This record gives sequence, C-alpha cells and structure tokens, in this order.
Amino acid sequence: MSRPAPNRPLDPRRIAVIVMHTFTQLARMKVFYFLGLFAVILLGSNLFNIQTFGRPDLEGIDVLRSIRSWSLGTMTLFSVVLAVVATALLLPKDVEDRTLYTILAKPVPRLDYLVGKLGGVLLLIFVSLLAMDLLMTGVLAIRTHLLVGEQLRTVAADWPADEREALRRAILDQGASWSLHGAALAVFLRAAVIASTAMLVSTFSTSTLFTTITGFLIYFIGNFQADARAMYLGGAGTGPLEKAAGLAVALVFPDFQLFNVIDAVIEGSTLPPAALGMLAGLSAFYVVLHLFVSWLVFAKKEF
Amino acid sequence: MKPRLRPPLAAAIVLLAAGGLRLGFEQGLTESFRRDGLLDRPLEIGLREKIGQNSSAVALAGLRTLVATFTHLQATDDFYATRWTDLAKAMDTTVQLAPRASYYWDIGGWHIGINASAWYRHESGLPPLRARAEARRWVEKGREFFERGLRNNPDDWRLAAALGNLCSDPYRFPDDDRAAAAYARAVATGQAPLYVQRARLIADARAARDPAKTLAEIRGLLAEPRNRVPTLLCLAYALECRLQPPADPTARALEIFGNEEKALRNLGGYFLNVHERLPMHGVETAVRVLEHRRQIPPDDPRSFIFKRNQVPPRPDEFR
Repeated sequence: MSRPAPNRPLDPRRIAVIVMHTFTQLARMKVFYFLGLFAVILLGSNLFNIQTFGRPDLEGIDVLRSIRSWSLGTMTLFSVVLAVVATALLLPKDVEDRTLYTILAKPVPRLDYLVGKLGGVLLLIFVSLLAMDLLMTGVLAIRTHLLVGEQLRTVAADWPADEREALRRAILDQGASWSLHGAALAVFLRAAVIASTAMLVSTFSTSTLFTTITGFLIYFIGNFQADARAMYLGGAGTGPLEKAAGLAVALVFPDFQLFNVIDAVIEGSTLPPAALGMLAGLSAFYVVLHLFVSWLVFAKKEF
Repeated sequence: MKPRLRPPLAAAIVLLAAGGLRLGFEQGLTESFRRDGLLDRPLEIGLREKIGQNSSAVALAGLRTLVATFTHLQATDDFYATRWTDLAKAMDTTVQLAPRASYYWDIGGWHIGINASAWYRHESGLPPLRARAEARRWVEKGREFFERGLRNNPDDWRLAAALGNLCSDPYRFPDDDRAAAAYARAVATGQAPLYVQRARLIADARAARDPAKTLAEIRGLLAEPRNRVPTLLCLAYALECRLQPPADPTARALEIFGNEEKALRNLGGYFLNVHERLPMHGVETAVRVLEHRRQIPPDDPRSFIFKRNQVPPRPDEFR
C-alpha cells in the first residue's frame, strides 16, 4: 500500500499552480489595459519638444530625457499602485469568494499559499514592466536614431567634426542603455518589497481598504526611513525621544529611498551592476522576511 | 499569554530583530550610493515648501525627476512670459530636485545668463545705467548657476565649457581669467572634445597671463591635424609676433599657413574679428604685406584693411 506523499511546504509545482492562478485572476481584472495608457504617455512624452529658443543643440537631449523621465515615472506609479492594491485585494477576495476555504481544505501548506499569491502578483508586475521596458527601449532607440540624424543634418550641419561628434555622443548618452534596463529592474524590486509588505499587512488586516491605505502609508514612510535612521545615528543635538522614534521607524519600515537610484539613471548616471546586485539582495531579504512574518500570523489564523 | 497574541508578538519580534540586522547595512549602502552619486540628499524643508505639498509627496514617493520635469515646464512657461525672477526660482527648484541632470543646469544657466541679461539690457525699458546694471547682475547669476552645477557635477565637461562660453562672450561682460579657468576645468575632466581645448587656449591668450606657455600649448595642439583651424593658426602667429616679431612676416606666415592665399584669407578673417578681443600683434602688418604682394590696395573693397575700417566698434556697454 503506497503512502501519501508527505505534505512538505514550498513545493515548487504546487506554488506554480497558485502563482498561475493568481496571475490569471489579476489579468482578468484588465490590468494590462494600463499598457495602452503607458503607450499613450510614451508617445505624449515625445511631444515635449519645447526648447526651441536659442539652444537647438539641447533639443534632442531634452526629448530623450523627457521620454526616460515619463516612462520610468509611469512604471514606478503603475508598479507601486499595482503592488499595493493587487496584494491587498487577494486575501480578502479569496475569503469573499470562498476560494480560500477550498484551497486550505486541501493539503496546501499556508506558506505555499502565501508564496503563490505573492508570486502571482510579482509575475504580473514583472510581465507588465518587461513590456513597458521593451516599449520604452524601442521608442528611445528609434527616436535617438532619428534625432541624431536630424540634429547633425540641421543644427550641426556646418560644425567642426569634433563638435558634431560631441553632440552625437550627448544625444546617444540619453538613449537606451543597460542602466535604463537596470533602473526598470530596480522599479520591479521596489514593487516586490511593497507587495510583500502589503501581503504582511493583509494577513492581520480585516479589510482591503485598510491594507491599501496602510500599504501606501508604509511606502511613504519608507521613503523617509533614511532620514529616521540618520536621526537615530545622528550625534549631538538629537534628543532621546527623537532617537527612539527614529530607531522605531528604521527598524520597522523598509528603506524605499535606496531604490531612488532610478532618479540618477534618468539624470544620465550609469547604474553599476554591483549596486543593482545589492538592491536585489536587499529586496530578496525583505521579501523572504515579510513572507516569513506573514506566515507566522497566517499559519494559525482561523477563518 | 493568550495563544492568539502569540503570532503577532512573534511577528513583531522577528520584524524588529531583522530591522536591527539590516540597520547598519542600509546605512552603509545609503552612504555608498550617495558617494557614488546614485542617491541625492533628502529634500530640504524649504524645497518641500517651494514645490508644494502634492508635489513633495510625489517627489518623496520616488518620482523626484518627474516633479523636476514639471518645475522645468514651469520655468519654460516663465521664459515665454519673460518672468525672469520666477524662471530663476523654478530652475532653482528643478536643479534641487535633479541636481545631477546637467541638462537642467545647462538650460538654466543659459536662460539666466544669456536670455534674462539680454532682455534687461535691450527690452526692459529701464534707464540705460540701470539696464546695464541689471544685465550684469543676471550674467553674474548665470555664471553662479553654472558654478553650482559644476559643484554638483564636477566631472561634467559640458557645464564647465558652458561657463567658459558665458565668461568669454564679448556681449556678456567678459571675464577672461574666469573663462580660462572654466575651460581648464572642462579639459581636466579628460572627456572634453578638442574644440574645448582650443577654446581654453583662446581664453588663455585673451587673459594674457603667460603668452609663452600659451604659445607652447598651442603648438602642441597644432601637431594634431584636426586642430589646425584658422583661429588657432592665427593665434599662434599673433603670439609669436608678440613674443618675438619675425624678421620676415610673410615667410613666417607662409610657414604657418602653407600658402599665401590661405595666409591672407585666415589672417584677414581673424583681423576683422575685432569683437572677439583676440591678440592682434603683427596681424595688421602681415595682412598689409600679403595684400601688397597680391596687389590689393588698402582702399580696395576686397582689402581686409578696408573692411576692418567698416566694422563698427564694440559697444562700450558690454565692457
């Protein structure tokens, strides 16, 4: 007589089923319509060609900078909102639909359920950001090519060769680059941390609205986390109460300010792979931590 | 302890312990990112007030550069409406939000130092003395703006070159020493193209601090064929004449320029360029001798001597 397979947690196949189910569930909520809006914003940012007075040499740079800024800004907005709202929606919706009871009545460890749900949200965000990144890269590549030709033909037609080359390089520097893909990945990593935070909140929250509001609040506070930490670590002039408050914020909230390296990339800096690796490691730490803490709360929760 | 309180308590303890673990790492990472120019300093309270509550919330939510795009749009609107004080404020806010975007420093310095100063000088309707003082003030503001940009982006040759251009602009109260220093800074980044190196030597020649050193550096640049542009060739000739006038100006001009026709064309063009305030030692003599050899009398309309007399003098108002 064969014995039933032990019901070990973190079974990849089981998690994959929940991930795909969550992904489908969210995709049916017409989330991908946002890609159409993104395309419109991307095309609109092409039209921000406003510097037509006196500095034609900066026109090309301005257009590309505008595309980078709007694209990564929209990606940030989309990923943050989706990470909070989609995650906040999942558990209450499963309770409301009674899906949760069906799943938990089966030999599905609660940890697998949480990992699968979070994985579904992250897969959706990843696929969306990948599509946006490809769109942005395509638009930037085409626009850069057109602008280089146009600027060299019109603005720099009678410039010396080295000035023409300097202008060409200045325009190319604002085009598609690996750092830009790195920034898109940083957007995803930040979304992963926010989603895992929202999941943690939703394990003890009683409503979607509470989770959503708390999720956004945590995100905003997380952007001050570095200031709070500095207040705690700051020397003279900081009172014990201020230090304690700073420490509390620094210990509890994730540091979202670190992900603002995206701004530096928009401004034209290069994102070193080591920096991206650090962010990826830190994000993995947060996701694992939040999942573990979520499980601590969710494991014995009665529905 | 009640059993239902155990999970949240355990969760809180784990969260706090993990917070303690990551505290030092995150602080180190923040400092490292700031050192590498990947993270900006937190927004100051004053700036938060300037951009308003909504914008500062957006800026704090990781969309700082997007808010900078909006404040830059505001600056452009102020530019069209010639509201220069508002423009300066909007650009100031923009560069505080995105201090590493050299584009904003470049366009801001341009608006403030060039456009605003020109407007005050010619279109403000102020009495002449006041208009001149205002124009000078805005040029100085533009230079300071560029210098602030350089402090935030010390490796940006474009900003240093833009400051050099503003300081050597003959219609913007030129400051040759400051221009030479700015171009030198651009060259020191090691990324500036050759034309910036030429601009540095031209500024050095104007400042006339050490003509012998400048001449030696010009000769070094002329060894590169792409640098053999008319202005640099003429400058080499003028500085040579200043340090040690040649016994035979024509022969020396032919050595430098290659042939008589090119020597006359280049030196003649240089001779007419009075507003650029370039050193003119020996240039007039060479032009006269070369024209004499080509049988062009000084009163002939083709003569550069004739043309030079037709060039209006540089207005005093920019000196």
